[in-house]
This record gives sequence, C-alpha cells and structure tokens, in this order.
Amino acid sequence: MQAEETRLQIVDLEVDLIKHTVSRAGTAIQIQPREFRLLVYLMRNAERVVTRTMLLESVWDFHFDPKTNVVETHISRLRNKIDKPFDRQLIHTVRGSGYSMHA
Amino acid sequence: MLRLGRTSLRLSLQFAFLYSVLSAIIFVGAYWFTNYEVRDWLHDQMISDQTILFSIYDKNGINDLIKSVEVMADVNFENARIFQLVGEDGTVLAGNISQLDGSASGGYISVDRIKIDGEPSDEVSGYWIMQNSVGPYTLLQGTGDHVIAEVLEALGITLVAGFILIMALGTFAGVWVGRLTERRIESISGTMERVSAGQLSARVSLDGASNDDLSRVTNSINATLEQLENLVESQVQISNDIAHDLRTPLQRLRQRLEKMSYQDVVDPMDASAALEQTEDVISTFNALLRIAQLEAGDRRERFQPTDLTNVVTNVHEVFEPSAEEGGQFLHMKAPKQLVTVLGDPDLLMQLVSNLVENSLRHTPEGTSIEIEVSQLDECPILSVSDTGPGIAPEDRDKVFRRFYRGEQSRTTGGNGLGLSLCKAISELHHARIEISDNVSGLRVEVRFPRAKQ
Repeated sequence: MQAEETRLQIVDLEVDLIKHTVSRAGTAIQIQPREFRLLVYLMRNAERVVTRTMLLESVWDFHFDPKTNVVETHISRLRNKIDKPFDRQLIHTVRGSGYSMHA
Repeated sequence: MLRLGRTSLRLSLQFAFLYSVLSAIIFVGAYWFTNYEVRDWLHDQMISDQTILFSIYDKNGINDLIKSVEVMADVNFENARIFQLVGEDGTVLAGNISQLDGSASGGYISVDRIKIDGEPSDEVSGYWIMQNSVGPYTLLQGTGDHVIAEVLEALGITLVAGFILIMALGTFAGVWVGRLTERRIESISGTMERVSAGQLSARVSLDGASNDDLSRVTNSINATLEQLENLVESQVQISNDIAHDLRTPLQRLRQRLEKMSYQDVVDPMDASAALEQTEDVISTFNALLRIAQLEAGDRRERFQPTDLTNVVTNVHEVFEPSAEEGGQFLHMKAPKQLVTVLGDPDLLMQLVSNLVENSLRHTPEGTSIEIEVSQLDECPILSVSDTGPGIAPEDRDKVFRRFYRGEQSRTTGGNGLGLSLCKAISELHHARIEISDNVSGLRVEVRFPRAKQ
C-alpha cells in the first residue's frame, strides 16, 4: 500500500485525501464523511488488526464502550459501499479481535 | 402498674426536696417576720395607751389617772392588757395585776410569775411588759402574747396545709406527666429496638397534637429512619442486582470452560465466547468503578471548555446507522452560536451516548429520537427526547439508581448502569439532570450552570 500524503490505495481501491473522493476499479463511490474517516483509518492501518476499541477511540473519540454494536453497523455500511459490489473483499473480520484491511 | 421511669421519679423527688427546703425557709421567714411585726404593733398599742394615760395625769392629776387605769384594766377583752399603777412607797394604786413575782425588768414576764384579776386567756404564756414613770408614780403596762400565738397558729396552719397540698398535687402531677413522657419515650425506644432488630420500616407514632420537644425529636427520628431505610434499600438492591447481573455471564463462562475442559483440543470459538463473557463482567465492574470515581470528583481537575454542539454531532454520527437499522430516527438540533461548557469532553460524550442508547433500546420501531443543544438564561442545555413510551412518573427518581430497571425493561439488554452514570457525570459538571414528559414520550434534560467569566 502506498502511504502518500494525498492518496491512499489498496489493490484497486483509491482514496483522495484532498478531494475526499473514493473510487474502486475506476468507479466513483459516494461516501459520507463519517464513512470516509473510518475507511481512511482502516487503510492507514492496513495489514494490521484494528480492534473495536481502537476504532471507537481513533475515529470517533469515544473513550468508552457503548453497548450498542455501532462499530459493526458502521463497518457493515462501509462494506456495502466498497466491498459488496466488487469481487474481492478488502475489509476482513478477525474473530475475537476486530477488523483488518488487506488484499 | 405505676412504673416510674428512673428519670421522672428522680426528678419528682428532687423537686420535692427542693420545694421542702424552700418552704422551710419561707416558713421560718414568715414566722419570724409575723412575730416581729405583731410584737411591734402590740408595742405601739401600749405606747398609745401610755400616751393617753400620761396626758390624763398631766391635765387632771392623779385621781383621774387612777380612775382611768382602773377603767382600762376593766375594759379589755380577755384580759389581754394588764396595768398597774404604783405609788412612791410601793403601794398598788390601780390595775388588774394582783401579784407579781420578781422584777418587771427584762420586758417579758412568763405567766407563772404573775397573777391577774380575772381569767387570762388559755393561750397566754407570758406578758410583754413596759414600765415607765408618771410623775412620782410608776406605771406598768403589759400585753398578753396569746395574740401572737393565735396569729402564728393561723399562719402555721395555712403554711403547713399549703405545703402538704402542693406536695400532694405536685407529686401526682409529676407522676402523671412522667407517665405521659414515659409512654412517649417508651414508644421511641421501642421503635428503635425494632429497627435495630432489622425492621427498618418501623416509625415512631405521633399521637396527640402536642408540638413540643418530644414531637420534634420524634419527627427527626422518623425522618432519619426514612433516610436510613432508603439507603439500606438501595444498597441491598445494588448488591442484589450486581449479583444477578454478574451471575449470568459468569455461569455461561463456567459452562463454556467446563465444556472446554472435556475436550482434548481447544476450539477457538469456545475460547472467544468465553472471552466475551469475561468482557461482559469486566465492563460491568468498570462501569461501577467509573461511577464511584466520578462521584469522588477527581476528574474535575481535567476540565476544559467544551463545545457541546461538537459532542452532539459526534454522538449523532456514531449512532445514526444503528438507529436506522432498528427502524428508528435519530436527529440532532443545535444553535448557530457556540455553546460551551467547562467540562470533560469524553465524559460528556459518554453522557449523551448513554442517553441516546437508552432511547434506542427502550423504544419501538418508528420512534423518533432527537438530541438537542440549546441555551436558556445563559445556561447550556443538553437534551435527548424520544416519542416512545416514556418513564412512569413514579419511577423517574429511581431510574438513576445503579442497576434500576423498570418492569418492562428487565429483559432488554444493557446493564442498568447507564442512567446512573449519566447522573454521576452531570453532577461532576455541576449540572442537573431531569426527566420529563416529551409531549408523548421521554425527555431527559441536562442543565449546566451558567458559564462563569
């Protein structure tokens, strides 16, 4: 993965940090600001396991554990937009730990 | 059964003793004073007689004097007054004294040394004597002391009778009041005994309309017992609920571990499920600790100016997808201007988050939930309102207790600590948290103090 100042990329997923645009396989994807932040964090930590706690703290500044499964819901939304319509899954669930973004 | 409490009996006796001593002093005083006054008066009487006789002698001479003395000696009631006129040579010229032993000096003659004409009163024990010269003659005057005796007797009877009456009445009154007080004190100590034995609902009964010290004490005691009962009740409830809430995950954990112990190879699924249960337990404990810490007030030192709109926006963002998934609607509303509060941003986020989760969890599909930031009288206000079933007015105070859950919510998820954490956070920020009706549904409002300049 290239970790440039202005762009992030995994396989065919591209994120422009300046323009706040996301595209995969050349197709532009409409994405909300909150989903964008989540995606960026996952990409910046690609190949690593990211726990729920880490996501809550880093993406949303939540320094506690809400009972509701907000992280799963947000991940699921993100997946619907950037994983489901495509062949290859990039966001992986790691049982008992969290999530990981990799090819 | 006349069972006088030690206090009332002791007080009665002390009072009786005191009164006796005072009475004795008064009696002695009265007696002496009366004695003195009456003697004075009798003395003045004799002086006045004397004055009359002297002026008769001065004007009319000895013969008239002799006649006057005889008249006076005759005309006197009970022979209380005695007279004797003696010539230069010692012969008795007039008067009703027939025999006099010894001299008349000293001012007083007892009745056995003197003999008079006629019957003296029984009560006379002596005469007060006055002796003076009238020209060449000697005039002796005397008054019987039975007058005083009679006066003093009357006084004595009155004083003694009065004393006895007062003592009798006083004792009965003391005993009666003592019994009344005794009964009320018994009532109080009886109640306290029952409370000590474990019956925390016991109260001292307030019969009678008296508004005295004992009533005030009774009211204070009842208020204290009320407070005690509430505190103990909530402690008991907390312990019960902690036990209940932790039992389930711990039981599941044990089952899981038992299962794992029978297997040769550890199934990762089992291990992660066991881990989940321990997470549950740990998070409950952490929440409890958090609340305790917050109540201790340590985190105030890390306060900073916090933008409430920012907090609310963040929470809204986090929960909106979950709301949508549950068929609920989550909105937010905030003013254009900055609304800041001196506080801890993390805790404030947790507060709003808890309130939102609460609404999400306890309302059905289709419910609309709104998070609002506003300002009233320069007081920042955070509120979360929903169009759900709300909370019954009688439960509104209780929901802030640790682990409290209304009947309907017993089965929903969560550990029942959310609202008590909200309360602890509010109080740390010197804010007030209140539950009210939202037209139809629940409204929870957190009102912060005015920002100080």
